[in-house]
Amino acid sequence: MTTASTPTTLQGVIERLTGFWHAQGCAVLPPCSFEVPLGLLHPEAFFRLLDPGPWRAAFVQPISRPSDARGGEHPYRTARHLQLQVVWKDVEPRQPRDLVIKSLRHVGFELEQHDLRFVDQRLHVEAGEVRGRGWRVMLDGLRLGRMTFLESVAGTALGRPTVELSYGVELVAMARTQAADIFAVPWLAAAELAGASDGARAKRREGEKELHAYAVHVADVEYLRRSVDDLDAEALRCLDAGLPRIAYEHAMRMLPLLDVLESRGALSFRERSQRLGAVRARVTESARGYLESIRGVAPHRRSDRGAAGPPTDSGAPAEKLQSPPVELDASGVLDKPSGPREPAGDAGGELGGDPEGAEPAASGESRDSQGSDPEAAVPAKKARRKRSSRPRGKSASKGKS
Amino acid sequence: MGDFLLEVRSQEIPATQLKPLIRSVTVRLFEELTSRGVPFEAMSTVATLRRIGVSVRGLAEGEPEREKLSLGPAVAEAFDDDGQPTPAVETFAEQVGVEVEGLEARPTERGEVLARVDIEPGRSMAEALQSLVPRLLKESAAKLDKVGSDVWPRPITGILALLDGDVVPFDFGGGTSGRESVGHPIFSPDSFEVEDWPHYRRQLDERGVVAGLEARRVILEERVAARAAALGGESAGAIAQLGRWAASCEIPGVVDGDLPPEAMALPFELLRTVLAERQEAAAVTRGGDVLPFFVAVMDRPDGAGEAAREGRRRAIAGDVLDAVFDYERDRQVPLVERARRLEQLTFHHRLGTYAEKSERLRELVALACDDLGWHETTAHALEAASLAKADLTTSAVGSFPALHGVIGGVMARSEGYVEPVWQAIYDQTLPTPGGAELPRGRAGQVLAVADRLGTLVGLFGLDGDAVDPEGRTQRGDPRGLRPLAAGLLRLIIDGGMHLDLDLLAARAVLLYGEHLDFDAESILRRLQSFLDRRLDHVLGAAGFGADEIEAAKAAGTRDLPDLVRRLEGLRELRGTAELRQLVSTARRLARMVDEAPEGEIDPELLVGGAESELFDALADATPRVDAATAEGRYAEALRALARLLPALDRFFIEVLVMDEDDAKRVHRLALLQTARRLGGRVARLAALEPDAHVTTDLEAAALHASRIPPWLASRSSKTD
Repeated sequence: MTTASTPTTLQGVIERLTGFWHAQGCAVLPPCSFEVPLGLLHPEAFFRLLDPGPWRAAFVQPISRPSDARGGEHPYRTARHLQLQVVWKDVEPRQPRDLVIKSLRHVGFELEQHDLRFVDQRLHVEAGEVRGRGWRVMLDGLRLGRMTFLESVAGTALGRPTVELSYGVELVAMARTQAADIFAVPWLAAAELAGASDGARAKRREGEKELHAYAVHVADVEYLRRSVDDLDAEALRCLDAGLPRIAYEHAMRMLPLLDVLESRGALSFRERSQRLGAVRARVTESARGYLESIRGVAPHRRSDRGAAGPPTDSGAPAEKLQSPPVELDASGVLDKPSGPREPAGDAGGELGGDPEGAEPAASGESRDSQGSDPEAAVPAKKARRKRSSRPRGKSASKGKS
Repeated sequence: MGDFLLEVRSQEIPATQLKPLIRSVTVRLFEELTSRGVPFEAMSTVATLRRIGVSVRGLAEGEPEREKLSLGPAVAEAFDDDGQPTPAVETFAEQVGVEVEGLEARPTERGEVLARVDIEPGRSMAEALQSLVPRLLKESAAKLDKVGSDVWPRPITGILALLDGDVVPFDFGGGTSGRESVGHPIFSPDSFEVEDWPHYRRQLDERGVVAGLEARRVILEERVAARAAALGGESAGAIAQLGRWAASCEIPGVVDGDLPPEAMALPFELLRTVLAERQEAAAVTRGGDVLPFFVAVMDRPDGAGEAAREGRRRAIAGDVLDAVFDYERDRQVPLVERARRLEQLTFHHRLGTYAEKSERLRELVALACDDLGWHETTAHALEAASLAKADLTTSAVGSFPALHGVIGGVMARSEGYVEPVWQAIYDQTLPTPGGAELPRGRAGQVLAVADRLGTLVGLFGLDGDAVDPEGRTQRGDPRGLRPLAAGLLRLIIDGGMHLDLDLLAARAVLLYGEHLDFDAESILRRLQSFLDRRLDHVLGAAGFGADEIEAAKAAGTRDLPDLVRRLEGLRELRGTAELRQLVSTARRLARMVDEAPEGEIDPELLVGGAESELFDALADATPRVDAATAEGRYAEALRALARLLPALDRFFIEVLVMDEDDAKRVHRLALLQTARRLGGRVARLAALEPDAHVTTDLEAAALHASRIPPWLASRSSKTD
């Protein structure tokens, strides 16, 4: 599988990884259009794990964990990064581990030069009521990714062998290209640099500095609280209106805001558990609604379900990403239960991330759109803009200092 | 004679499950073979995170013949006086289809009976193993967590099962047994055929796989120490980690590198924990100083792999920086403020918040200090109790719960609290289960006691699944009551605390107020009986015999250090003729005066001779016993008691106690009652079993171990 040339850029790593899993029969999906803390919470992963049909998918998902912002001072922990997430129902249990090893070779690792470990790990995604157990994948002590046999999603036991696995894409790239840190991962091969400016490393760091400054010092606590309240109210309204996917999305969008609140030190234990409890309740309700909504719909015909979604969603942005916006809107959930970086969350392929501007392939487009104003008319659109709730201008000015 | 070789390969099994698994497989195999009467010469095992292997050598050809019995009437009733078979026998013989002469006598629980005996040939070893092994494997893993498999901890990747070179065919967990094994998944993934155990071991050796758990531990210990020495120091805390590390690799490799400079800013306890928990690594220290290096374990050969070394350095730097980030943020909020935040942190969903717990702690430590007469400790203990739980709000403890207490102590030290206070916070979780270390100061002692007792009282006060009405925990110990109790008792005993636990527990019940479901009387009674049983356990583990414990407890002391001194006194005299005589005399006394009403000695009635001699001996011994008892010198008290023995012996021979005269009888009984009471001040000597084999902890362990093969105890992880 390994071709003669090995990837030397972030994009090369992404191509290899997605190509590998595509070759295993995984549908390669677009990312969902807003911030999630964990690829597993992409609605195409989360909801699909629950429904009765078969499913095998892989996608690169931009991840946002504001509390992981380290201002570029950490070699590989960042508030934003990319995760390659794979979900695979009805898997032959002994298969995925060997595929992980093969995929790493496919990316170009000479594993004989490294120390590859599979270390026991439980996964508990609090907000999504996801539980499972498996391994963290460690390369030379670096938590490169994870591989989990899922037990339950949205509190519902799965009852069939289901594996989810993920890679921190930039982490893989950093290790693969032997970059000094995550900011030094090249986007372009040296030969391609002619005409394109490099200087990326420092700029990416600056971006993380802004995120850090925003999350720790600048973010307006009242604004965040209000937004979370609004999102929760809207999620409830959507549930009442029989729109579980939209409700899920609104629930998801609370998570990064809560994470910023926590970074600001504004979230007490009690408030945190109350608010996370609310997210959990919306998510569980959405999951129930989702299952009801697909009853009678051919389980494996995804497009049907998309069409069945609320008409508002089939609006503008839909064509951009092939899958229906309904599901795109609902997305990730946060995986870090208690302390910052609990082993479970951590172990995932979470790290990586790149600061501003570092939007290669997947999320680049939606990232631009979010630069604009947060008020959006259409739910779907709003969702895609989700990131705009991080007012860029503010953080930029502060991060500067 | 046959040699059986079994290897079950799987995906990576957690370090915590590996030992239970290999142990369970080996013990069950041993028991199955033994119970079937199948002899064998030796067993050995190997275990890595990806395989467990067992070799049985010198195995019999097959199972022995077995008698199958159809039991009939008792021999005693089978024949009449003329020696003729009774009708019952004839009927039985007919039922089982043989002549009466064909029946044989066999001993049973109800005496000898007549039986039809059929000899069943044993199965061949191959047949027996074929059915035995899959069942045995399944049972061995039954209690372990399973992921991706129904029958084995992790998905099975292959099975090797050979009896004298032939495959023992069976299916298990999706795998089919064969004659092949593999090496390391990265370095030697190709399969190879196996001939026998020595060949198997050689093949693994050639591939660098050190299959024995203990062998890997030894190698890692040597290499980690050597690497640390080369860096100019020693590996800090590595010893405690070696068992886990050995269970998590097949090729025991070691790598070292530089720590980032930021590591030096971390409290050493935190640095050490980060390295151990996140990275299977240890810091390097020299004297009390931390050197800027780490030594880490790998699952690959040493040397080469510069990528592995550089990668590890970067990964560790990242983990250290995360810890620094957390700790720096933690330090920005002082403990006092953190203690306020405990209002929002739930201690137990029925028992309120940690703030409430802290308040109860304050009350309990104050009461304990008062009861102990440690008045100069009270202020420190109160301050420590207020802050003790504050570190639960830190990220550092959130990431590493085992550092609760330590982080708070370190923060308190750097915030300028006096030594008794920060040490008390730091030491509050001592003693750790199995550890010997106690809190360093009195404030730490009372805090640690109050913490555990408060929690126990709370759990005993709740209706639910924790404790049944008898105070027994159900399903083992789901709420961890036993370690709590053991810690509490060891604090008091080893710490020499003359503390009234009942008083403290009663106060704790009051402090919980409305939280509890049961009334104080019920809680205290059940708690007391629970603690009493745990006390027996703790004392038994310390090597005291059950009879000694019973005897010492019967002296009625509620002061545990005193109880232990009594036991030590008894142990000092254990096996002596003196003690044996004391016991037999005490029993005789007990028999004689047990039923008698209490009387008084009437000096007027002393008739001289043996009676006066006993009176004088009592008068002589009493102050000696009292003095020795008061000072806790119980061996001496026992020796003083022994001085009564000649007088008592003579009294028994020469004096008629059960005199017809009431006054004389009461008076003489009173003399004996006095002697008995005197002895009772030390222990209930009649309860001792001086001739019985006194069970010591070592012997108890040996007894327990005898249930498993003796070679297993020492060689369970033997490599060859």
